[in-house]
Amino acid sequence: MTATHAVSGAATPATLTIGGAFTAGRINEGHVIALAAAAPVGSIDPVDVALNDLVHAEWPDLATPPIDPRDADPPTRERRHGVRLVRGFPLTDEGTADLVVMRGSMESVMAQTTISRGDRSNVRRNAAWARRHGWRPLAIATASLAPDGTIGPFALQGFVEVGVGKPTRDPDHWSANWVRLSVWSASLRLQHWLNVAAVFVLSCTGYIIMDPFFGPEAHAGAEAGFQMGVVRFIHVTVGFVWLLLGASRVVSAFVSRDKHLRWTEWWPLKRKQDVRNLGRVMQYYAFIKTESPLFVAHNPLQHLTYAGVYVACGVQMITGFSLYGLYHQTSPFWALVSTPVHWLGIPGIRLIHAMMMFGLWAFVIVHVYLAVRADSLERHGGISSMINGGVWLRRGAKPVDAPEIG
Amino acid sequence: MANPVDVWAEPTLGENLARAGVTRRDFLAFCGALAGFFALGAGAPRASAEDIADKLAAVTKPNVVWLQLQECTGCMESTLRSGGTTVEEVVLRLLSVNYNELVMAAAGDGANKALADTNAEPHILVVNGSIPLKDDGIYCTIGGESAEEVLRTSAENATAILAVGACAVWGSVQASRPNPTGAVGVDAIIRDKPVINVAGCPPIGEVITATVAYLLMHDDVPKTDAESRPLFAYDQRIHDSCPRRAHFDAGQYVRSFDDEAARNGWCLYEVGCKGPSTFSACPVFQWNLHTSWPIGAGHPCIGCTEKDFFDRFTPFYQVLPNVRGFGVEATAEKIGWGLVGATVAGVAVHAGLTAIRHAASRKSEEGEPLHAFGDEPHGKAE
Repeated sequence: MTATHAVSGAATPATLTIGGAFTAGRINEGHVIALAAAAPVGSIDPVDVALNDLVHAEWPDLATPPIDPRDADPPTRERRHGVRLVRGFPLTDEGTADLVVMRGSMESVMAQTTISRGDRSNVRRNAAWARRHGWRPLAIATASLAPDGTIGPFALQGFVEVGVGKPTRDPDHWSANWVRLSVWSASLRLQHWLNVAAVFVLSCTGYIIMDPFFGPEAHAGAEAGFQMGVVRFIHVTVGFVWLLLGASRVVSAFVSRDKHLRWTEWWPLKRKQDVRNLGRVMQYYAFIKTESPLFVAHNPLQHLTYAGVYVACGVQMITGFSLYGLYHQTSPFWALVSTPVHWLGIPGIRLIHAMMMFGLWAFVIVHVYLAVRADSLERHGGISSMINGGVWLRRGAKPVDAPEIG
Repeated sequence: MANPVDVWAEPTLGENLARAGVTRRDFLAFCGALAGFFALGAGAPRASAEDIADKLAAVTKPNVVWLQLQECTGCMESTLRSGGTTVEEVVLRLLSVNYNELVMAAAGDGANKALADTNAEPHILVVNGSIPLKDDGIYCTIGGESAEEVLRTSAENATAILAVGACAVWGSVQASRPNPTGAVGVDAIIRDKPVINVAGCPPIGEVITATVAYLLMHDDVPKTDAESRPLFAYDQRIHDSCPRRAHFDAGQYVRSFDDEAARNGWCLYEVGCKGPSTFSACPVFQWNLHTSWPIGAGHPCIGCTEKDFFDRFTPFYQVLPNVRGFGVEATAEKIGWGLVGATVAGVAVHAGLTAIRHAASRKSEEGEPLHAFGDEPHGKAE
């Protein structure tokens, strides 16, 4: 690529590269770069030079004539964007337009422009991605210039990625857009949140049954109440609901057409490559690698963990119902359900039941943390996908578990 | 203590009782109590006092070998105090306990001969005490034979085998970790015949006599649970019929043995009562002529009718058993909260490292100052 230029004034000259452009949708990437490249006559600013080199190489028809220096208002430390008048810009095939172009730091330009909430979030998401990958987003906004000299409101058009000492990017992947993929089916999301609710209620009531750490004080005339009775009623009732939920999950694992609900998802290590990816994911979490392999749905470590959670929940159901069955020892059915108590003793079963609860709590803490972490770093909308089902991926991304995003 | 039947003179129990001056009214009263007891468990067939009286009265003198192996004699003491009314005493005498170390008059060769003679005929075998297997059974020998040999010989012609007490059921205290003598229960040795486990340390005297009476009455073993305990006495947990259960449901707990709640007779769950984990008829039948029982006296149940209670139910004054690790024992709750705390700490450290790395990578992005972003003073480049 030709869009490189030594940064002037640097002690050791580093090359300045243009990584690509993001467009808010109204104009294409070439227009964004051409607008950014409009520079005063004889400008030796390295950004201007690099942009102009690129426009002449890639979109010569969009190149604008140099601007009269009087039409340029350069950025300052206080106002981190510059404003330039661009006359006769070929905005559409039909004709040209006179525009006021605002160019500068993202924050500064966004503060001056009106933009819809959806667009703003999209621009921010892309700008954050660019920053994470070492580019500085140079924001571009335009306003119309009426013949009488009045300037319309500024609209954000996108940004250009500027980098120092960065390798240039493949122009095929300049289209720096995010694509929403509908990944999680409604029934899966419903399962997830019903499970959250059930585990929450069962944990609270179960903890009180394990250790009734509060209750009425002993003094004469105290009303007896029915505290533990209510707690145990809720625990047992929600326990039955949870069992039904678990049963429906098992059924869906075998009959569902949704790949993410199928039982095959519980064991992710089917090929050698999966084991390698598992290792990479673990190294990423251990801060050894800076990039993790990209997965649209779950990574192998998640698959293994969630399989473990299914086992833990199964153990909770088995131990819970074997304890509940103790009330009905004359019924052959409940006597059968209670069989585990004869292997480990009732206190042993209660101990497992309690320790599994703490284990699930530890899982929930790590699970919530890693979900928030992944969403903040990768910007894929993982948290909101648990509610609306859609994750965001960059166009051109090559996930392990899905075809290239295009 | 009065002994109404000193000698078995008539062929049946009924006639012997009549001869000894026990009125039918007294006998029926006893049978009524037994009927109530059997009716406890839905597993047992319904029986009226008259049925029991007719059947018991028709009983002919069965031979009994009552072995006492590795044990403390507590079960025998409990049996002898079963009710204490003359009629229970009679039933026991009428069993013709030909061999029992504690109550028999014979000693030495005479005792051994009584055992050998009874073993040769069909008989009921009652066993107290565990069987130590380690080091060829040297830890309990009777007349030069190991407990295992004594048991196997006596079991050969036995028509029914009762393991009475925690020792005979699973080994009890001496079988608990580390079990230095290798003690096991009767059903670990006798595998070809059903063994009725009358569990408890000791079992309630009435449960022992009721089991014997059931055998005599029905000529068959009672219905049992998965651990071979007669369902009529072991189908409900202490918790299910505990007189303090209302306090459990109300959330009213004794939190230390000297608090106001303890004086009010509230639930002992928080001080480690094992009633919710223990199958026994204690709250219904109680002990020593219905005088009292552990929970009635303000002490939590320790779960002595359950297998391995000494290992699995300890510490007795905690709700959950301890978690054993590498020589470290801690309460389940401590370990659970420790796990949660460690997870939170781990997450905090990981989040901190993430933030530091993220900030570092952001800083490196700043890179060279560029005029287009307003980094440099005005006018330098343009």
